[in-house]
Amino acid sequence: MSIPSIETIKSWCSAFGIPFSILVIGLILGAIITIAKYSEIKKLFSDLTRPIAFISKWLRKKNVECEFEGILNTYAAHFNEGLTTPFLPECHVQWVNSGNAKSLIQPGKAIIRMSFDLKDHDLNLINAATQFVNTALIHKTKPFLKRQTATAIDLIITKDLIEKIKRQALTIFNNRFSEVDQESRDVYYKLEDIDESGLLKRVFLQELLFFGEALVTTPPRAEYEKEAEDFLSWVYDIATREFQEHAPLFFERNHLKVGLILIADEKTYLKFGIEPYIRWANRYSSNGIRTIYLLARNYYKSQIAKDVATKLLETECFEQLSKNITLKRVYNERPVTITCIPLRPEPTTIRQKAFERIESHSKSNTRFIATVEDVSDKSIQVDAYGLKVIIPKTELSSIAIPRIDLYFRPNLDIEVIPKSVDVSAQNIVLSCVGTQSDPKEINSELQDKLGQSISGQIIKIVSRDDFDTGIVIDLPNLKVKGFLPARKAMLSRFARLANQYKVGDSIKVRLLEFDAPHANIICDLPDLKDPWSNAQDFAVGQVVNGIVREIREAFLICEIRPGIEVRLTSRELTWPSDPQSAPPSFANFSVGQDLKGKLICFDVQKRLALLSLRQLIASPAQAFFSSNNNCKCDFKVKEFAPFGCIGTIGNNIRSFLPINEISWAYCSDPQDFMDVNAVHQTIVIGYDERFDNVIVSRKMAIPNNYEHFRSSYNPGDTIEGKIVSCQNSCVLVSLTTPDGVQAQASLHKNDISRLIHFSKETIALMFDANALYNFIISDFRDSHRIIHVSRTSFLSKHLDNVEYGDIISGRVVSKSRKGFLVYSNQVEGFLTPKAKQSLKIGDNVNFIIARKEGGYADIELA
Amino acid sequence: MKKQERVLAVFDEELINLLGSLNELPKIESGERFCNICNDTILFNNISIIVPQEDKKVIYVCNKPSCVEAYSLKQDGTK
Repeated sequence: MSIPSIETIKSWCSAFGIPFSILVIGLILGAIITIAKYSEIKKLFSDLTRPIAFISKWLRKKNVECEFEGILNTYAAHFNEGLTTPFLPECHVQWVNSGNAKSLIQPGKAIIRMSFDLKDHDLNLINAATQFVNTALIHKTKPFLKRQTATAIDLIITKDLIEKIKRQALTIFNNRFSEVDQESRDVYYKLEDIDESGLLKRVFLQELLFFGEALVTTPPRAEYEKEAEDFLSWVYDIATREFQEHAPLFFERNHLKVGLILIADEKTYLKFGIEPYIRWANRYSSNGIRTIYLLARNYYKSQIAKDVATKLLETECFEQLSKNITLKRVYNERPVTITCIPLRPEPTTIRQKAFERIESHSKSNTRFIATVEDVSDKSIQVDAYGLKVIIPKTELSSIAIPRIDLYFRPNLDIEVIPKSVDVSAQNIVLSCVGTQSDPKEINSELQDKLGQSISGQIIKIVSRDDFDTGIVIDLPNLKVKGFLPARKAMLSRFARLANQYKVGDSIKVRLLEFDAPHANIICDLPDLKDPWSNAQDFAVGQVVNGIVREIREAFLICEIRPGIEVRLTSRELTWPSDPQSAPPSFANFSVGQDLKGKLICFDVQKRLALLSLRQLIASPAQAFFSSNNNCKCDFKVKEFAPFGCIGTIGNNIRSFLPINEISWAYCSDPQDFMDVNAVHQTIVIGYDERFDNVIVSRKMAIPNNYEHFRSSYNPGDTIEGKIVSCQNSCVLVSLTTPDGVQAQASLHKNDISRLIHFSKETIALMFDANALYNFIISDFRDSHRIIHVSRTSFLSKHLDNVEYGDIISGRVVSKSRKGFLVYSNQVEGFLTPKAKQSLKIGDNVNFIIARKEGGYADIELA
Repeated sequence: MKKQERVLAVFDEELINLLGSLNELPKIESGERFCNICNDTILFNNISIIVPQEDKKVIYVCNKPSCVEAYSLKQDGTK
């Protein structure tokens, strides 16, 4: 078929009354939309063609392909949004058929069956999504990760994917999660916390991606796994740290070199502007950090982060790795905007620019701020705009200083002035002489007094915005003032300086160090001890009294001794009548009130203490457990949970029946065994503090003298038992010895009959309730205390003992092409075609053996 | 060019032909193939995942959600 010429198309347009230019614009727009929204268009195609897909196989196949590619690629596009290096590649469904199988099949690579049928839809989708995430997400990195970590990463991303594309399919995910080993689950929970703080994709996975790309040509080693695990722990510590809690803000190993700049304290910005952040970034760069993340939470701090990033990018020393820098999260039930700006430093440019800036200072003879990195006996090393510069002792002061460390310490910002700069030789000499950081400024008598305790007089108590900063002290015979920071002046941060100290009072302080930028001497109180160092008299479980100091939305802070703070969360206020209800609020509490509670956590090393009011009294569930442990009780089923059943016992006490406590046999679905509102006899076996419910066991209430059977019988022995219930793939049997001892057994569906297809209806016809049947023991499962039995083995073995002519009673249970199928305790077989056609399924018949045939018989009516 | 990840799939209506080309048809018809997870007999209507192996053997996973998920976990476990 020839392609129509432009003239022909124009004539068609005029025939339909469409201007040719409109057609061209429409085609261009169509092409743009198709390229930009390719995945959505695929999904749309799938939705539109579904009703007519019955007309051809090609259309059905295309429909399925477009739907799955559309869904997965929309998610991948959303996931990769703004990233320079995509985490998830595009998904392409590659059909395998008899023609291309040889060329496409790879050993070990799964082929997923996909169906047009709607009933298999969710399972198809989960299959494809799981395979896609497992094979595509950071696949270069996974060989270098611990197995549990790789599993947890796949799980959290698969869950996110399912949540976004098919929320109702989460039940299948939850079932999968219940099978995951504990260690992987622990990592998963850590990743959830990391994701909550917005660091999962933007920091953790991003860095693992770089990690994998750096290592791709090397074989996995234990040290790489350890590096990745340490990195996970570091990110987790950062994600879960409390405000102003200390955690190292950089991670530096052989391959992972990451630095964070937190825009956490607005005071720093208000006081010093963005310069400290710039210095911080330059320092990271000069220390070999490969990625720097600027992190901020809420709108105002986000603006600061963006300002800092803009300034850094303007220097041309940094490259921004992602354009999409904000994300939404919920924190304390409030939406929060998190800003995360990843920057890649360019060390060569930073070095070059640093020389230029220092040269400019040299020409204008101006001073600038550098940061002390290392202090030795003879010199200090400073970071100046990202350059490491050594300043010898002679350039630190115009006077002789006996010990450098009395005046300079790591991380101290000092004022310096360039003495000489030779860019071509890359040589810089910096000096502190004559600057504010020159120790000459300090009275020479101070040199001998640092570290000593002396008495001074309070001349001012400094507060800003109703917040105590510290005390200014006049020190005798010294030209500079002493400054006692508030945190070093009191045990408790809630106490007010004005309540303990008065201007004019005498105070004994210890001189710690010279604070050059503020030209004062930092002091502390020699007699003030860390309150946590004397906290050995507190212990978990102890009832303590305290004073409420601060009330926040989710918790309050109470002091049980000056300086020892304990936290009371709203969950620990009262025992809830309904566990689903929202935790109570702190509306009835006020700052300053007395409080009595029980310590439920007291960790001196972490300085973490938690208080509970509700644990002063036992909860109804706890009290029930204490008085009914190991007792029988009726459990009423209320609802089904992924790992068991939730119900009530006693006087409406909430309780939980774990899935592995439902039956002695394997239970995959509680609904096979119980219905909502049904009452089952159970035994009380535990109490779960986290959910405040009583744990019960149904199987423990069912007699199971497994050990007796284990010691008295062997595999192959014949034994009697009754059918108890029927599940999807097995039948539960209660075995009984002649002297009445009982044990529980499982009869697999393949071990019931050689002739009859397993179904719950057929089982009801084959076995009478309360009637005894014979079984042969297949094996003993010590781990689950259950015996596996077989009917087919018994029927096969017993058939040899049945004589031709013996009259046997049985029941018609099914009909096949070969005739009626009759099942009895002793024999199963086909009724010969001569049998009356008036027989019905369910009829009881007497029969004799006509012919024995490998485990079953052809039979005739007696 | 964008990176692509291939997910191998067999269309329901082409399953029997594919199994025929893998010489698996008679084994499945005679009930000699079992689910790698729950050991249930594999039939044409309960196949969910097919995993060819190096030694020309083929692993099957049936369509029970628990088996599909357990197989995914096994895959993770082999990393």
